[in-house]
Amino acid sequence: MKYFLILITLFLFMFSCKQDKRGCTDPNACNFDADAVSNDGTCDYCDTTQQITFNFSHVYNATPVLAADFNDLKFTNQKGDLHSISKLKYLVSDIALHEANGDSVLIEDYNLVDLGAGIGLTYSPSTSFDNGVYTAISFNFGFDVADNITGAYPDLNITNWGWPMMLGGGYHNMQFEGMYVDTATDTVGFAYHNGKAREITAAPDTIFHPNHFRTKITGTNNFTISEIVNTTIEIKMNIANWFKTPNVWDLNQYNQMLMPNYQAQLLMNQNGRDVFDYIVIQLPAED
Amino acid sequence: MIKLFAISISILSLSLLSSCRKKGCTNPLADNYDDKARVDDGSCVCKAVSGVKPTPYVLNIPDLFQQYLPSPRIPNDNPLTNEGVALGKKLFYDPILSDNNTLSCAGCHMPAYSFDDTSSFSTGINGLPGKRNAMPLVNLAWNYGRFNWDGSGDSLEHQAFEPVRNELEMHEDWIDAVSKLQASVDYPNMFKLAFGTSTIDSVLVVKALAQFERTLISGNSKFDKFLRNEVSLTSQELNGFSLYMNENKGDCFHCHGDPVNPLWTDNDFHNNGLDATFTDNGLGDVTGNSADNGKFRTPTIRNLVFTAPYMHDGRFNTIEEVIEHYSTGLQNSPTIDPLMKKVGSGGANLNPTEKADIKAFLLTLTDSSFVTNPSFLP
Repeated sequence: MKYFLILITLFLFMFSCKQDKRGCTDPNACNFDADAVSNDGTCDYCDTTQQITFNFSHVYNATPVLAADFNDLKFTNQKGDLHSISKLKYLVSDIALHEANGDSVLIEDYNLVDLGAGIGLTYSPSTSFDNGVYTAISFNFGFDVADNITGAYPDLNITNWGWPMMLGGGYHNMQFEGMYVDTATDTVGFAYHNGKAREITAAPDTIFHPNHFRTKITGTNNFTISEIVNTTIEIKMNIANWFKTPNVWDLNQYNQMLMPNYQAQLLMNQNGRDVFDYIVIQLPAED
Repeated sequence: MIKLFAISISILSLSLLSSCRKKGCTNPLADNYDDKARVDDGSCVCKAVSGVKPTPYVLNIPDLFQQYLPSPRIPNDNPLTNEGVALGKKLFYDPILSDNNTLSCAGCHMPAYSFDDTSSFSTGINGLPGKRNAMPLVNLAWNYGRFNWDGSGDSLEHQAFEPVRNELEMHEDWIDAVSKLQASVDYPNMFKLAFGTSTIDSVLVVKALAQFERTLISGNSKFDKFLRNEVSLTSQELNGFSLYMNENKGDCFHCHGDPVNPLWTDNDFHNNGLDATFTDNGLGDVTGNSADNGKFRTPTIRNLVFTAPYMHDGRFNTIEEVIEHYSTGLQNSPTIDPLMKKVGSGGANLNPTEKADIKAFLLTLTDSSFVTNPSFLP
């Protein structure tokens, strides 16, 4: 009878707390146990994927450009015109990292950079990247056709980032503004705004060309993403190249009212292809 | 003996069962709510003095705003409540906040004028004019940036401190204002209902005012109805809209917004070419950066018909004068916005028909239901 009582007690102990199964309760761990109720400290984070940060930096040829450099007539473009920068705001989307084996990881997202306001200069997408060797990055300057939907993004609408419907709608790719010294030595404004290009052909036809571009940049060295390093990719824009290659930009010819100017929009698209470069910064990960 | 076994097993089971369930405060409204607790142990504590929480206020957000804009900017420490909004409205219309009890917020921000007034410079309690045109109070819940013409306000709450103590406006000492409120019949209880305390201070006063101001939403103009496919526009209004959006013509939208920004302002700061030299530095005096001299916040163009005169100094009496400024009146200066085009020839150089068409479009942004909305009136 005494043994019977002990048995019953043991039995009760074993089953009465069934709902309190112990194990790893963190869904982010690779040994996550969906049945476990209390965490027993055994979670193992396998670290087969990493998150990375993108920083956006800006130079004018070799000289760094910060918000503090705005509004001074201190830049001379390829043609020789002296100018300032008062706004540099642009959108990149769908950044992808390319692996040595040909695979790539795509971040379906966008980031609006506003250098003057200090917005979007650091971008930390939630996407995780597999550990491995990467050789290149690519992204859209502006939205691609599928994403360039008028009114679809509240955070962009509220900053007046829309591109007029009469020019095809969607959003700006870039607003780059400043003052320049014209041939009459007057200091006047320029507004280098890039977006869809409206081509007016024989009436009544009008063609709206998407006019974003995807840029793929292969770095001089491969880089390895792993759990032992924190990886930051610095995407660097050389602002001078908007005025430089392949078309030497003449601000006296193209300064304002460029959005409806089909020719100017095509030239911007061509000049944008080589404005970006990137460098990879890796620091030892702290455990 | 068997009975004894049964009883002891029952007791054992019960005690084991309850030991597996964590005890704590299970009331989600309590300050010490424990979401892991399954069994309430009677430890719940509610700090709110009144014991009755104010009722959350549901903002009446127009469909187009829901579709195109982010959520309104409501500070975490000042959620909108029915009691807070009611208190804010009473304070807004009450001259008690001025030194001689003659001027309320509504004295210069009148509902009939889209919460603006009709003078270039509003007159304060001492009979002296202010230094800038009063701004209309419209859709400010969506201003994620700075307030006032010059950006001197960080938030609606912060903004509301200034007019009360400004000697050219209500010229009241906040300590005196609070004393008057505290000594009044209604206010202590209204503060208790709104904020859980009948001890009034200036921070709670501006919180209540800001709550009321955030309810001032305008989204029912003819153009809103046009976007909702409820009405059509005349060909003149449509042509005016086209000129407004055309970078070769009006190019108004870069600052004043487009159909997917129903605020019709960027709430940002620009020098729109009013003067070659400045008597008022605007944003520049707030930031201390000379590159900001002559910059003022873009006002919304909603309800323009009610908000004359125009500009920070009220220099233009009519919408025609404003359009003429952008057409032929631009003055160059080192900080002029690059979007002000053809400055050398005075601006956009619109012809009389184009100017009339732009005005016709601007008037479609008139929301008469806003200026007569009974929930905004005392």
